[in-house]
Amino acid sequence: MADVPLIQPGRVQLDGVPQATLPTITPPQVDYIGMRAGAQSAGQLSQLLDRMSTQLFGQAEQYAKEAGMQYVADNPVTQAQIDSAKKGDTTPLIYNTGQGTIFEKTVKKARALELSSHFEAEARNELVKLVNEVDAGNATSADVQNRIATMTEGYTASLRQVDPEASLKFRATIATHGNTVLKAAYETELKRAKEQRVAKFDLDFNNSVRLLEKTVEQGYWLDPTTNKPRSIDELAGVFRENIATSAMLLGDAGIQQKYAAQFEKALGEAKINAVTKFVTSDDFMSNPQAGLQMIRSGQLGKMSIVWQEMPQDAKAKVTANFLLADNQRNDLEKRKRDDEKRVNEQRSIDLLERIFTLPDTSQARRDLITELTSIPNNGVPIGTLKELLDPNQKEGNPRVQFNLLQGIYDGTVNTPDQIWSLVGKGLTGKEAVSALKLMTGEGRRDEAELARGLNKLAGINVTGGVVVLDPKGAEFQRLNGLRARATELQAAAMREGKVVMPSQIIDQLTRELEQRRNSEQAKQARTQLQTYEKMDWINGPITADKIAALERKAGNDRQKLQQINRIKQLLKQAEGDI
Amino acid sequence: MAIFSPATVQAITQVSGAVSSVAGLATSYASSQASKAQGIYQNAMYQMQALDTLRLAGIRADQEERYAAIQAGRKLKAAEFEALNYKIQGNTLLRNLQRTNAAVRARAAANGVDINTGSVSAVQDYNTKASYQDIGVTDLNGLMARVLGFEDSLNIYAAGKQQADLTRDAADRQARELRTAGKFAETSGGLLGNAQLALGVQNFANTFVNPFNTGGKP
Repeated sequence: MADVPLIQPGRVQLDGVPQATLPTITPPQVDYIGMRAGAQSAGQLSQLLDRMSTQLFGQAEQYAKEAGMQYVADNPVTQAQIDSAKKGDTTPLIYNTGQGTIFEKTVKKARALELSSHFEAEARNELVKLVNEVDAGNATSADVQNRIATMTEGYTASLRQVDPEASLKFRATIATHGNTVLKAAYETELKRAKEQRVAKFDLDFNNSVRLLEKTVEQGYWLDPTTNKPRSIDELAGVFRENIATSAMLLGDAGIQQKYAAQFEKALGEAKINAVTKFVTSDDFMSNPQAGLQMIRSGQLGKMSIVWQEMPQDAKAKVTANFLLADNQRNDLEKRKRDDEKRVNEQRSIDLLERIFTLPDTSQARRDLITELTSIPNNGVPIGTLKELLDPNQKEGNPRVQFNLLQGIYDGTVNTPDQIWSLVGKGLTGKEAVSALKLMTGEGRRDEAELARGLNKLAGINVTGGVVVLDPKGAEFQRLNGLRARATELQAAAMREGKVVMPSQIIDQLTRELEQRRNSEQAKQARTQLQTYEKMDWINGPITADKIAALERKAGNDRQKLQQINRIKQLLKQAEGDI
Repeated sequence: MAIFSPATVQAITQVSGAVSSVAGLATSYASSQASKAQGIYQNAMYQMQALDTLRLAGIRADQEERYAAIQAGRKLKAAEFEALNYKIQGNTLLRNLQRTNAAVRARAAANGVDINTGSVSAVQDYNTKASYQDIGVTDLNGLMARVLGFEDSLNIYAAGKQQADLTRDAADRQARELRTAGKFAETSGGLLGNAQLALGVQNFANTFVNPFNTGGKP
């Protein structure tokens, strides 16, 4: 039975209890947007109401302010109210209902501003008066300060009752203007005080300088202890110190520097003046050569010490002053001599004029000659005198006369000797006297101007040296023509009682010449000249200067010489010659 | 040289001022209407959103129920299969018992031993007892699988139903909220518009100058 099959139990196990399936339930989220929207709407509504109420209240405030302003505009402040306010009683000005409304506040503010404007205007008026008083010196800075303070306090106190802000504004405005006036008052006072001190100092300075000048004129000072002469500079040091101390007390470095410089300048000038006075004294100037030598050696007597301490440029000034004084002295003597000579010469000319009118054999002529020869320094050389009085004198030379007149006009002939030297050499005695009269006459300048103008118009070059003039030449003839015309013009002017200047005569003559040059005849002549200019043997521009060269070139060629004669005529016509 | 006289310039200025005031009023009116329109538009948007929420929630709840039913069915079927498996296991144990006891009896018979008595019978009883012991366990397992599977299935189905209910309920609430928001938006837009119009009218009254009045006074 051993192999009987047996079944073993327990092969099957109980199944474990599985996890229960527990599904998760998720409740969906709900967005409570309705409540939020409600809250938001309420907020918006609240804001809206705020805005509307702000605007409406603002509008109402604006209306209230406008009404207040209108009230003030309709009821302007009266003089009685202003006067009352000035006395400190502003009750009549204030619109007071006790409710403190915007209307009331606006009325108050507007009233305050109105009052402030009145007060400011009055205060400004007062300040302007104060400024004028300060400028006139009738108000001191203390006066100004008191008056500004009183005025400001009074007005401010009244305004404060109406509106403190307007009061503050008024105080600030008046303080600004008041400070300006006060500052001006202080500055005026300071300036005046300083000017007084400076004026006093200036007077003292001038006195010191005058004392210094007197001291310098002494040349030195004696030391009381040693009884020896001492330098002026040592004494000047005391003056310098006093002036510097006084100037510094004024509290202005600029003044100190100015007066220090002035003192040094005054000291230097005082030395120069003192030494100059010494060296230009009659005693010192009696012998200028010796005086100059003394100056150069520095031996100037009492002024020796001063001289030695003077700087080189000051010494140079003194030397120059000495030389100038010497020159002036010499000039005066020379002028005196010249005056005497001129008087004598004039007297001689008068005598000579009278002599020439008398017959050679008359007694009067002889007397006048005796009187002429008895005049000292009559200016007439003895040889010339003989020539002058020679009854058989030769005829004068126009060329010499022209050059002599030209020289007188130019100023190159300016002494009687130059005229006397020509007597008998182309100049008669009578002509010499006329020339001398012209030279010493007063209207020479005008005559010279007229002569220069006429020469220029005539084509005579008189810029320098002696003019070689052909009396038969075209220029001389043209000059004589112009002179004659000028004389005509002068005579015509004299007849009409007019005064004509040389320049007017020259202008008139120039216009006439231009008219002639621009005449048809002159133009035709110039056109014809162009024909000659193109000729083979000429071939170039033709002027009066070239005539001589053309004549040489023509030689004995008759035809060419005829052409030259024609050219001369055409040139005259082209130049408008009469 | 001026093109217009001062009087003409003043008249032009007055007309310009009046035109500006009227234009300002028109702008205020337009702005007011725009605010109202915006409120209505916002309300409409909220209404649309509410409808959409409800529709989507219905779909979602239906799906949730459907998924829960499927899941519960599947769970029930799995439990049934498991119970069957335990039944098959018990049958296997019975077949093994039958075969074993048959062998015992065959051997006994071959050896001339009475099969219903003695040790042979005892062996057979033992085998039977042992087998039924295991079969009892298997049967219990099958029963437990059936019971637990049913229970899980029930839970899944119930949960699906509850989720769907919750979804519908939340959607209802959300839709109500949206409708409320819409009403507020429309109301706010209207109020705002009215206020703007009121301010515009006030500004117009402050700024309008009648150009046809002499002296240019309003």
